Amino acid sequence: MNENEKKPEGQGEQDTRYMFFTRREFVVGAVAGAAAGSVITGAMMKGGKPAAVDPAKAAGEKRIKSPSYIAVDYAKCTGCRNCEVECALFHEKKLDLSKSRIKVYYFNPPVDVPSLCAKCNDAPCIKACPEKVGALVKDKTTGAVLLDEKKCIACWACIEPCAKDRANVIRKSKDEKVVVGICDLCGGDPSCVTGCPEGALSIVPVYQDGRYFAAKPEQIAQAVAKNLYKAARGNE
Amino acid sequence: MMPNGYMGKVLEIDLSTKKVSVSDLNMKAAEQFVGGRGLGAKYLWDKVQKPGLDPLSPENPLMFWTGPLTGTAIPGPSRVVVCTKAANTSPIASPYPHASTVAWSCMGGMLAPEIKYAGYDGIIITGKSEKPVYIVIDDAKVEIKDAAHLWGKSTNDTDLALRKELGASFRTAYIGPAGENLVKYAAILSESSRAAGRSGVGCVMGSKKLKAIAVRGSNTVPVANNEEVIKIRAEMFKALQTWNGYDQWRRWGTAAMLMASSQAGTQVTKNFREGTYEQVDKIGAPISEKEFWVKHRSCFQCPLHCMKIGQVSTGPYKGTIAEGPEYETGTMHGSNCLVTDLGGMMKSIELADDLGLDSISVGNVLAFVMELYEKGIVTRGDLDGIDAKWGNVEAMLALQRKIVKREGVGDILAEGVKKAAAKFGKDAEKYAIHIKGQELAAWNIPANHGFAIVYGTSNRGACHQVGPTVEEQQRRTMCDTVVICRFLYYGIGTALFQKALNAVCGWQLDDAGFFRVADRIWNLEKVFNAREGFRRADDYVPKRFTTEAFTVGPKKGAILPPEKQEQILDEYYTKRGWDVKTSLPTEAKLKELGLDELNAVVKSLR
Repeated sequence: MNENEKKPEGQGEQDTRYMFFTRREFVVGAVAGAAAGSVITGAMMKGGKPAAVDPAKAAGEKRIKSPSYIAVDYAKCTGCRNCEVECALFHEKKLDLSKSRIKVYYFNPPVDVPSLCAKCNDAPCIKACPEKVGALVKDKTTGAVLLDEKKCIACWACIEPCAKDRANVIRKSKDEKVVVGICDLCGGDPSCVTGCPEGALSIVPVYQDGRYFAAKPEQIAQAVAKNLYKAARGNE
Repeated sequence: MMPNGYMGKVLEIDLSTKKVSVSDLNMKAAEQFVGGRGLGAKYLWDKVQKPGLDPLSPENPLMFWTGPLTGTAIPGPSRVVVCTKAANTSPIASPYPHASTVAWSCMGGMLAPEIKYAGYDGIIITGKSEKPVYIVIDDAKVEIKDAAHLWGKSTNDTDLALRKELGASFRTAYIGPAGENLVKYAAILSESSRAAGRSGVGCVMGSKKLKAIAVRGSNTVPVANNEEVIKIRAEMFKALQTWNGYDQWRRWGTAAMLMASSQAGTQVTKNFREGTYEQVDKIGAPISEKEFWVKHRSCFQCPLHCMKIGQVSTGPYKGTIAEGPEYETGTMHGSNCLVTDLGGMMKSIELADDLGLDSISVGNVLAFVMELYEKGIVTRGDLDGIDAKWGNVEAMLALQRKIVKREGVGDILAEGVKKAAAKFGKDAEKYAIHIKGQELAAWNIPANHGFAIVYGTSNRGACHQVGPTVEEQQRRTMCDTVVICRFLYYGIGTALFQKALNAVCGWQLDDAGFFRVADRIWNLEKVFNAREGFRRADDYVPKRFTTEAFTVGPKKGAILPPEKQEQILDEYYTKRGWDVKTSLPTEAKLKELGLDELNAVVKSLR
């Protein structure tokens, strides 16, 4: 096998795991998701004022008062990546996208998938972090996983369970000194949510049985594409 | 130390020798020409030392430029500017058989910021590979790879293949079969049918046997005043949200203009014969929203999401997923060919994208064929059996496939309307709607004479983008230079972008300085073209506009009187500080712009 034939990261065994998105279940899932703000349908085109973007907004107001995660309306996302930018500006105070904790992936046929930490209840990343290191803890108020960069020993133990069983968002930093990609919900007022010009991101209380919960971007893309481009599916 | 706003490096790749090198950005040039189209013009001038270079020769550089704002927190500078010597233009008279204009062609999306994050302000590709190749740029690691498996693939299949090979984190640009087969108006495309469509840049890429480039970067762009930049970013979003065009852009994109332009008599209809399309409601934005559109897409950091993606859900073209209609594509493949079937029109647009054609030029070519067919200048036999009646979508599809394969009549049409008309003979020339060899786009002239200046004086041949007055041309030149998307610039305004440029680069450019840069760029391009043989005679609009008045619509009777054509050119050259008779820049003008070294060149042309 030469280098060109190697399967790219994260695009390997998606299909079997993805089988549970049968069409029927998908529709049900989409409806259930709608209640939680995680809408997959394509009915978002028509007019309507988007949520106001105010990147200068101070993060003083803590909107998250109970364990929550950030739900994505994939039909509303246009792939502008303002969420990535706002995340970097909030945490790094400059535009270093390599440190963004949210990433927007583009797929063909055209689908945009913001991918971010799901704040899993059972947090396999926390479990994987060696006990004596203890760099990861759960924030009891927001439910976010908090990384103490000073404690992180760059052992990468947390990367694997997320990559294997969850959304695959944890990665090595560019300088390979700490992990990046774990979302701290900006302490209670997520900058990606306020910075999204499309209103595609929303804060919802923890609700972890949704179809798209902690799914990898390519899996979500496949399901969203199937739903958006119905005509291309032929006589399914 | 890296200069602020710039990565300070240019990636140079010679495909003949497979040599990859990184050079320092010419910072003196950057101060004078800033970025994008400006640096493109400067580097082209420096690299192409003599007039008459064959644009398809290995020596012609194919350049991907970014601007100093690109990759910073400022929204708008997401366009990559592809610069080269044009493959599709030619002057009326020249001693050089391969004479052509400068070329620049902009494409939105995600590629431009990624080039900067990879560490470069620009990528310059010269030479010519023996076998098809593609280039993978992963920060400092640059590989030239065999593209045998990609060659011949449509743009969509190329996108899918690259995605499979490299994953979703690379940003790519590629040509289709049109570029491979050297169709003169071939485009370079990127994700979801974004295109550097005009100027035949895909043809130059094809001549180098370069199928695609893929870029991934992890660096940051240094800025002089980070806090100020973040503040300006917020001001820009605020300005956009209070702009009265905001909701319209977001909802309709440029498609909103289909119906408005038809009312104003500026829509291109029936090969530019009319300015109003009576059936425009069948292809306009409201019906597209109702029956076709599925989702919006944005360029990097842009809240306007003017790109619309749709699918055809009924009829013979059911299942087609396409980008558009935009004003340009909907006009060139819709009203200009008298198409009334939205699904068919979208199929034609999708095919143009998939084959890697400039959808503007090819729409013009298709209407040209339809008119020649109607007038009996070409017969069904000449068209290899294709029934090129107005509005016949199947004929449009068949012709595009032939053009791309250069098969039968397609080989003639692949050269563009100017050369095809010469080949067809008879009266064909009367219906070839081009300036300097580049096909006109979707704005009609008789009801808005400003477009005679826009198209006529554009340095890349007929182009609808450059502005109807010298002042507006300066602003738009800066849009393509800094780089700023013009749609965002409408909402944000020049002042804020100037402020942003100063905050990013640490400069203190005032209004006058800003526009002097634009003037300098325009004049350098002009001298490049003049050296090739372009003069005043090349700036005239096709005769159709000065001889045939509109016969329908609110602007019935509109025409560009020939004396008005003379008058507006006189005024324009005077305002530019150029010689009215030849259109050559005066000695004083070039001196004023710090382009003294060009005076020797211009002197020899007088």
